[in-house]
Amino acid sequence: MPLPNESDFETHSQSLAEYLVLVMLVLMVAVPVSGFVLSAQSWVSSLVAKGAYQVEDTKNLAEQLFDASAKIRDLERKLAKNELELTRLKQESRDTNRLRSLLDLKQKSQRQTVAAEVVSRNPDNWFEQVVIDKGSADHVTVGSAVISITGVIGQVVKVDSHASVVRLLTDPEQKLGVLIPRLGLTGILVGNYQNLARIDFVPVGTNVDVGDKVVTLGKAGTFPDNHPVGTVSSVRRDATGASMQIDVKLTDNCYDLSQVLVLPPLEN
Amino acid sequence: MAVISTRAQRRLGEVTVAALVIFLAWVVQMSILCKFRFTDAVASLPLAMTIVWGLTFGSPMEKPTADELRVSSVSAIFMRQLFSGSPSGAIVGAFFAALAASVLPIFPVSYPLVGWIAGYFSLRNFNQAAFLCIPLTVLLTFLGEMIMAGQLALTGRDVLGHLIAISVPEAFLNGLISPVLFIPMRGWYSYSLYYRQLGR
Repeated sequence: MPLPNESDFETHSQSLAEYLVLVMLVLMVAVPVSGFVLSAQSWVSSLVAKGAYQVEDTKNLAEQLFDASAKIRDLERKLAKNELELTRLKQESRDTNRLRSLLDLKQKSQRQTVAAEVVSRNPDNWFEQVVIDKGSADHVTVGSAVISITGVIGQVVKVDSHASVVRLLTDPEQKLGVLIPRLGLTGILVGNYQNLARIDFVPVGTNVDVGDKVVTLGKAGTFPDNHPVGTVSSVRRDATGASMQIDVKLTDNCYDLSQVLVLPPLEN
Repeated sequence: MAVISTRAQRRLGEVTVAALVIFLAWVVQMSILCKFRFTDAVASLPLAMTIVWGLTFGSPMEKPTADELRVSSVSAIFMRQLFSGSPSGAIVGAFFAALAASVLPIFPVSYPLVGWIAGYFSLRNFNQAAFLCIPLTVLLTFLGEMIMAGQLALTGRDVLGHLIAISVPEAFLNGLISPVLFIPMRGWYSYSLYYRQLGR
């Protein structure tokens, strides 16, 4: 019969061996598995890190985009404002130049002059007329000549106390005595809407050339003399062949009108 | 006791509103539309409005019944047809012509006549009237310009070339703006009818 101590020792030895085998087994399995776990963990971690980085990157990009679009909007607003300002300044500069030229013209003229502004055009397509903001209260009378710095505009046909109607040189009813200074040739210029104005009944054989200047005759005391009217655009025989017709391109197209000068007729 | 009857008050209110609308249209034409040219022609808001007015409000005469037609003589039917234009269109045209004549020597015949004639083509009972008003405005603009040219030809002006040059673009532009006028005007007409029915 074995001693109790012997039996305990044997039992303990077996347990120890079992533990050792178990530990060895664990080590045998756990060492390679831990490598795998590590690599898997690192793969997952890198994936998460990459995702987080991407999300962060996208978020930054979106923020930049919003910032940029806000900046663009701001800049566009500023640009539009500046463009408006520039347009206004250009308009003011044009107006100033025009007014300065009108002032020069006014100072050169020996006659009474009234500076006026065109406020509206006629509402139909049959009459070439405009309304100016000066009337009888400003000494504008029916028959007053209306000129601009570039040429002749027309003649006042109706006067109210603070407004007048001007028949433009482009109206077929409007006639004007003109002179071709190179030849000393006189004629009557007739408007033809937005087409070229015309001088009829010019004697055949007159040596008129394309490009000759046409100025006002100014003998009737209405229009000033030698004020530019236009240039000869073409010369041809009329329908009967008995005289010539001259087409004249007006220096002022009577369309884009703003400031004009009104010259009341001379009394004598 | 009221000095004028309710009906007269209502009529007076309508005329005042119409006068304000016409005056506004005139100011828009004189100050804005005349600055925009399309192949040397400007849209004529007064003419377009006169035409659309005639088309919208039409004639106050009721449609004849079959019995009435059966017992009427040819001359009576003819006279009835002749007088079934638009008086309000003619008045609007006359109003515009008077406004024009106050500033410019426009002959006051074309606009009232076109306003009256527009009443013959009344679009009150059409569903697609907003589209139909375009060709009618184009045609009546041609007619208006021809009447105008006729008047000017009587004064000795050579008008044919200019008539051809302006009438096509003007008719086109008037045709374009006509639905913009027609739709609110028809709404106004329907509202006034509804308002009248409420008053009864």
